[in-house]
Amino acid sequence: MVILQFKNVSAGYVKEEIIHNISFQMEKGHFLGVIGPNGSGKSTLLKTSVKILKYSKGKVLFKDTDIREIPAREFAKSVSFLPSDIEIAYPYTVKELLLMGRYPFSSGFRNPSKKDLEIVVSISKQMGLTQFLDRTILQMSEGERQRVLLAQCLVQEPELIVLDEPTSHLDIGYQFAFLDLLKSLQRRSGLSILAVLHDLNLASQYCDRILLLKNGSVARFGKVQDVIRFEIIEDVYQTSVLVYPHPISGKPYVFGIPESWKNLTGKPEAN
Amino acid sequence: MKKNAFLIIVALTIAALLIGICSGNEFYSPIKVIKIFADPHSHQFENTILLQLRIPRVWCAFLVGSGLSVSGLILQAILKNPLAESYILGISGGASIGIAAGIILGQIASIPLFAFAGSILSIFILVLAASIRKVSSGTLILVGIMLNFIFSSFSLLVITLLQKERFMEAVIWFMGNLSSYQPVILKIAPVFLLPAYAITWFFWKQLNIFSMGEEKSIALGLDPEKKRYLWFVITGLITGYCVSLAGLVGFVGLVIPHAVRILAGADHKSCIPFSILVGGSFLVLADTLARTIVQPVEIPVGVISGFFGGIIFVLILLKTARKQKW
Repeated sequence: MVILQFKNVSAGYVKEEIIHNISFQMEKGHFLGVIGPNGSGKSTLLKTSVKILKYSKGKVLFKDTDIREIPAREFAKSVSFLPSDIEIAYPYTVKELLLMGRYPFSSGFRNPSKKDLEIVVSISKQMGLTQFLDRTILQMSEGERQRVLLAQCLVQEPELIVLDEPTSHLDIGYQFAFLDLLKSLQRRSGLSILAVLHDLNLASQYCDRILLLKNGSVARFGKVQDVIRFEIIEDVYQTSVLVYPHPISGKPYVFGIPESWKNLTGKPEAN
Repeated sequence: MKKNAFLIIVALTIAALLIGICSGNEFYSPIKVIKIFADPHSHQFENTILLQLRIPRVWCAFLVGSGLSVSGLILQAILKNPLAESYILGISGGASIGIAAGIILGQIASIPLFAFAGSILSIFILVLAASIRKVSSGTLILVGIMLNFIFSSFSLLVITLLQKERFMEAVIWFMGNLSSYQPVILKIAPVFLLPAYAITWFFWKQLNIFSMGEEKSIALGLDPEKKRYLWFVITGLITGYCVSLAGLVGFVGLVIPHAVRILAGADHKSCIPFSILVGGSFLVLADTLARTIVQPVEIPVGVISGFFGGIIFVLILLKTARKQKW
């Protein structure tokens, strides 16, 4: 079943179109990674898919419905979005932040319902946040903070979760922990994940499909091994790379090559 | 924890109101106040002072303090900026234009109305800028600051051209003071402030969501572009009302919400009632000081609130700056 579909979509800002004529289909339950050089339109594509940016041409379909026809609140019941570099200006506690994820389901003045609280408790248990519930977000480390924000998205009980560079400020341990968590949610509950990932190798290890963008258009879309190939990466990123299979997973792994090595014939001397 | 904090704040509010009522040219002890009310006939003079002067004055200070705090709190949430406040956003500038216009036209008695109209005018310009250009909240704050400069320069120009006796009148309005409020305006408080506070508290969740920023708000099913107009109107009404009572009292809207977040946390469900109580009490105390510290002269309350508010703010900042990112 197709959960998200772009049909010849062009979008961007008032005076400047950033993505042009984009088409792809995302299967339910897939982890689709969006990669591409800086300024290739990755964030624009994501923001278009969650109704933050309006599109000028084409159609974005969520489960066969044009997303323009789904009211914001209804949409938020099925799709959650984690923007990049989200800043929290005020000292909310983790519990308060998680309860905000129930906003699309709540009404008026009322306190959170029993169901809301149950979901918050169960998600925070899954995410290992139970002991942090009463802490304020300002007291937490970058890695913990990102986990809270992911939990806030999950509290929405989405079918599709959309993430804009969720691991870019995390150290390698937290990066893997974060993506492992997503992967296990995908396996266990059939969550569909659409994420911009900066790191090609993380994308290669975790994604089922890759969408590679170049100058606002689709350069390649398909299975990991069909997209992450050295001739494609070299062409899109304008740099020299080597691509070898990962020794354990067999997935393609991209090695960058510094300029100064290119004149050397054999391997660079190890020292 | 929060319940205890709330009870403490309620107790402190009552204490602040009592201090305000008891102090004046002559200090009445609380027991004496009770005696006066129990037997008004034998204390006619004191009874008149309490009912005609002190209680309305304290009530007025409470309303203005609470109003400015609540409108500051709202603006800080919808613009996601802890430095937002009606004065910074140029609403005070609008009010000062109104005041200047009232003075030029010689309508001293209706200055409050002019001030009110001025605040609404500047809010209107702000909303217009927001809707035509669809600017981000950061830009909107800058637009507000610039509006404030433009308006203030204009009204300063007007003041310098005034004759001497009117000059003093204008200056007192610009400094913010509670000695020349109009009783009629004080009486219509329930029409303005009660509905505004009720709506604000009713939509506490919306304010929480707003404070997460524009993108996250949309992702949580709230369209900030549409919804923020309601909040601009509410803050315009509250600020306009406060300015028409007391002129330009600075700093309350900035300091009190910040202090409240430290006391009660950031959740707007508790922030809103806390802001009403803490903001009200703060201005009651500041005004009590303003009218008793150098008797028989009355210092404009804006001077006191700006002075102590600023000091408290710097202290709070220095204490918490390490934890907070802005």
